[in-house]
Amino acid sequence: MKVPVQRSWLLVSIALLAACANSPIKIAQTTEQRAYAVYGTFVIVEEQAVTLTSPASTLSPDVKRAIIAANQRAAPVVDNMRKALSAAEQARADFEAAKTTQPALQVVVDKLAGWVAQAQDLVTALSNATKGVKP
Amino acid sequence: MSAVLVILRGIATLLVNPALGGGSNLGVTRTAFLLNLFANIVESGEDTSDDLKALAAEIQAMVDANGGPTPAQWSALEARDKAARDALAANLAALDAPPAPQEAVAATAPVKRTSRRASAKKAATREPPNDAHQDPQV
Repeated sequence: MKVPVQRSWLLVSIALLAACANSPIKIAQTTEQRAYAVYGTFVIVEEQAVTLTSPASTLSPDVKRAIIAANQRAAPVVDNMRKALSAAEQARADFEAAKTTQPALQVVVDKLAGWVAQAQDLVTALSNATKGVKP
Repeated sequence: MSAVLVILRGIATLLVNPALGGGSNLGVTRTAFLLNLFANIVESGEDTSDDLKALAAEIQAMVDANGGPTPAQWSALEARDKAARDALAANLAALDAPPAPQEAVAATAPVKRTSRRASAKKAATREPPNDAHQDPQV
């Protein structure tokens, strides 16, 4: 009896968090715009984490460590997304200069889309709780 | 306090309190911890909301212009990213460091004692100056 009640509460909370999402990532239409939106959201969450984990913050050390760890787990994925974006820009320039083929360009672009999706999931999970909530 | 914050804290309380229908196993405790963590982030998330709105406006402008971010926009974000990572590393170092006042007392007090003892011992065992060395013989 207890478990379904807890599960339903959890589902409600997740739905609420999703509903209060402000949406730079949702607004973006191209892969490049989405990458920028994901990166920008990540930086904003990072800056918030700095405030929350500063010595002046009254949060417990365990909570501060958890916030820092969550950001550190997301950082490598975001970094890989940025590298993939640079590679895609280079490949596009090479294609326009007839230095590479369309299939080769497509491989790089697909890889970028994969990293953007992965980073988007992580950053969305990190930022859902920080978005657009007014008292 | 926002409605989301109240709900998150309420769920966290329910999860850890058996009297309210919650459990006490590790998974439930961890979930409650995460919900409290989210609640704390939500609580301080009003400035973040403004930043997200500004970013959303920036993205909307790109969409309207059918363009992408400029190198200057990327550079600005990278600079903020680097500053935030450095600050987080500093905050983590501060968390891992022992409490400063106690450390200062513990670190300085023995040094002073050792120093005094050492200098006293040195003074006791030090050979007297030439003229004093000659005194006993006189």
